[in-house]
Amino acid sequence: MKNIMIVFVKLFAGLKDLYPALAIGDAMAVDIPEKATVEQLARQMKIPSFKLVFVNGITQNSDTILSDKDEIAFVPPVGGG
Amino acid sequence: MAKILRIDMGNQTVQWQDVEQKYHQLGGRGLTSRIVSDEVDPQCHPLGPNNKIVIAPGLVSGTSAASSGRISVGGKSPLTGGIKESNAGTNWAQIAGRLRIKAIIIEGMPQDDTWWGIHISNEDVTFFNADEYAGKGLYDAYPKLFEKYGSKTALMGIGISGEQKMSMAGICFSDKENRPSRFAARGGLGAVLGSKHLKFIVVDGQGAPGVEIADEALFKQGRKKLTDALMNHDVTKPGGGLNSYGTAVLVNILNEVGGLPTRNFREGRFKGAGKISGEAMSELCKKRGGVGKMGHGCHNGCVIQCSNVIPDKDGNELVSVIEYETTWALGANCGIDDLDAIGTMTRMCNDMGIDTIEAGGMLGVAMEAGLIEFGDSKGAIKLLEEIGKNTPLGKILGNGTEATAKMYGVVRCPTVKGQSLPAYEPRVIKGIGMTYAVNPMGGDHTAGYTIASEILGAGGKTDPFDRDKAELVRNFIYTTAFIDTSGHCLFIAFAILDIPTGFEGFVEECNGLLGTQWTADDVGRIGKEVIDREIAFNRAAGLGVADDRLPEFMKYEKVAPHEGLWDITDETLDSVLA
Repeated sequence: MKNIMIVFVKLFAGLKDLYPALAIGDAMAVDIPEKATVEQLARQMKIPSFKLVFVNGITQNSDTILSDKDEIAFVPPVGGG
Repeated sequence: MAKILRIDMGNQTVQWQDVEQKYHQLGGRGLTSRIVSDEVDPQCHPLGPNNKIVIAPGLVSGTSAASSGRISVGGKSPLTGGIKESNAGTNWAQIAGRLRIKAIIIEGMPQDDTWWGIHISNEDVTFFNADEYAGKGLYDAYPKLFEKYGSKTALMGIGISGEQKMSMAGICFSDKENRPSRFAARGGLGAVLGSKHLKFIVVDGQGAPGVEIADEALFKQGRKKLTDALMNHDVTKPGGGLNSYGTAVLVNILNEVGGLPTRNFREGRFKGAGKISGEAMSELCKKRGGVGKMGHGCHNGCVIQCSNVIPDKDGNELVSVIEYETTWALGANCGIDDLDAIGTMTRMCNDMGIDTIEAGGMLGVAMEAGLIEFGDSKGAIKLLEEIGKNTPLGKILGNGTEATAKMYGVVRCPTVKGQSLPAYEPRVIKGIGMTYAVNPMGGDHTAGYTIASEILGAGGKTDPFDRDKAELVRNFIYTTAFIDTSGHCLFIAFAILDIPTGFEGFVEECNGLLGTQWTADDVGRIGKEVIDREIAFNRAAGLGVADDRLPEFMKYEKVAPHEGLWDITDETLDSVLA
C-alpha cells in the first residue's frame, strides 16, 4: 500500500464551483498518494481542465511531482488588469 | 471628412480645422500624443496657459468593430511632469467617432471664474454656463445634464478634485447607463481641465454621419475575424473569465503568486484577498440580487463586458464599477477586506472625479505615516472626505501618493515619475516592474501588460522571476501603443496574442478603415513611433533616465513570501526602449 500525504488545494474562478462548500480563497486538505503529480491530483479531484497551476506560489505544470503539505492552486483561463 | 475641433477657453470660441496629412493615419493615443508633442511646450507649467488637453477617439471607435469604444486624453501631466495619455471605455468615444471628430484640442484659459460646459452636436458647438454644478458631486450633476441634453448623448466631466486642480483628478466619462464611472483616470488630467475652467463636454450623436471607411469589405472581413477570436478565447468569450468575474478575478491569483501588494507594498500576500476578489463580487451579486450584475459592458458594442454593478445590502446600487486595480488599491493595499467599504470609497472617488489607484496609493502612504491604522476603513473614508471638503489636509491627500509621502516623511513611497504603482508587485514579477520603470507614463501597468505572459500565460508563458525581459517588455509596450491608437480595448490582447486570425483581423480592420496596407510589422513600428515621441517629450520636459527607476526601497526591502528584491540593473532598464 502506498503512503498517503496531505496537500492543500485552492480553486479559483469557475473551478471553485466544483466544490461549492469551499470558501473563496480558502484551501481544502486533500489526501493523495506519495509522489503524486499535479495531473494525478487534478484527476482525483475531478478537475476537468485548468490553464495554470501554482505550487507553493510558483508556476508549475501537470508533470510536477508534489510533496507533503504543498499548497496547490488551480486556475482556469482568466485575464484582467 | 473628419475634422479637428479646436476650442479656445480664453474667449470661448471654436474652430473646425482640416486634418493635417501627418495626422491622417493616427487616432487615439497615437494622435493625442502626437498633437501634444507638436503643440505643447514640454517645459510649460501643466496648470498654466500653455498646456493643452487633446481628446481623440481611436481609429475604429464609432464603427461596428467589437470592443472599440476607447477615448484617449492627452496633455502634460501635473502628476508626473511628463506627457500623459489616459484612456477610457465609453459611448463618448463611439459618438465622437460617428460625429467625425478626429480630435478635440482644448487650449487657453478664461479670464474669470466662470465654469463652462460645451455641447457638441452634428449641427453646432455651444458653450453653457456650468456654475450650478461646481462644488457638487458628479452623481448629482450627470443625471441633470442627461435630463437636459437627452439620452442620445454621452458626458465627459471633472469633479471637485479637478476643480481644485488636484493631481489625482481624472476625467470622468459616462457609461452606457449614464453613470459617472468610466475614467481616463491617471496622471491628473482632470486638474488640467480644471485649470481651464471646463467642467463638461456633452457629445450628441443625433444625426451623426458615421465613421468613414475606405474599404468596407476589408474592414468587415477584419472585424469578423477579430470578433470571432474574442468570442472564442477563454478569457474574453461570453461566460469566460473576464465576463463572469470581472478584472478582479486576478486578486486570488496575484495573491497566490505572492504578487498582490499589501499594506503599502510591505508584503505580497493579503489574508483577506478572497473577500475582495472577483469571485466574492460575483457571489455578492448572486446573494444580494437586486441590481447587482457581473458581465456589465462599459460601452455599446463591447463583447467582453468585464464591468460590474455592485449591490448594497438591500440590492440597490452601491457602485459601478469595482475593477481589479480598485479593489486592490482601496483594499489589499490598505489592509481592508470589506467590499462594502471598498464600494463606498469607489463611489466617493467617482463622485469627486478621482483616480482610484492614486487614491489607494495615497491612503496606503497615509496609513504608513500613522494618520490612520492599516485596515481602518472608516478612517480611510474620512480621509477621502477631507479631499471633498478641500481642507488643508484634503489638499495634501488630493495631490496623490508622492505628495502625501513628502509631507509626512514616508520613505516607502510606491511611485514612478510621481505616479502611484498599480496592483502587481514588481519585486516578484520583474517584467511589469520594468514596464513601470521605463514606460513614458510613470507607474502604469496598461502601458505594457506583461502580466498576460508572466502570470496568465497568454502568448506563451514566461517566468515572473526571470530578469531577461527587455525584449518582452519592449514588445508589449510598442504593441500596446498601437492598440491604444486603434481605439480597441487593451483586453483584445489576449485574443490576438493567442489566435493568429484574431491578430490578422485586427490589422485588416485598420487597413480597411484607412485604406492602408499595414502588416504585423507595422504594428510594432507605429507603436515605437508613438513611444519614441512620448519619450522625447519627457526628455525635453526634464525627465531623464534617472526617472526611469523604481523606488529605492524595493532594492533593499524584501517582500514576502518569496523574499523578492528589485534587482534589474540600470543598464537593462535603459536598453528596453533605447
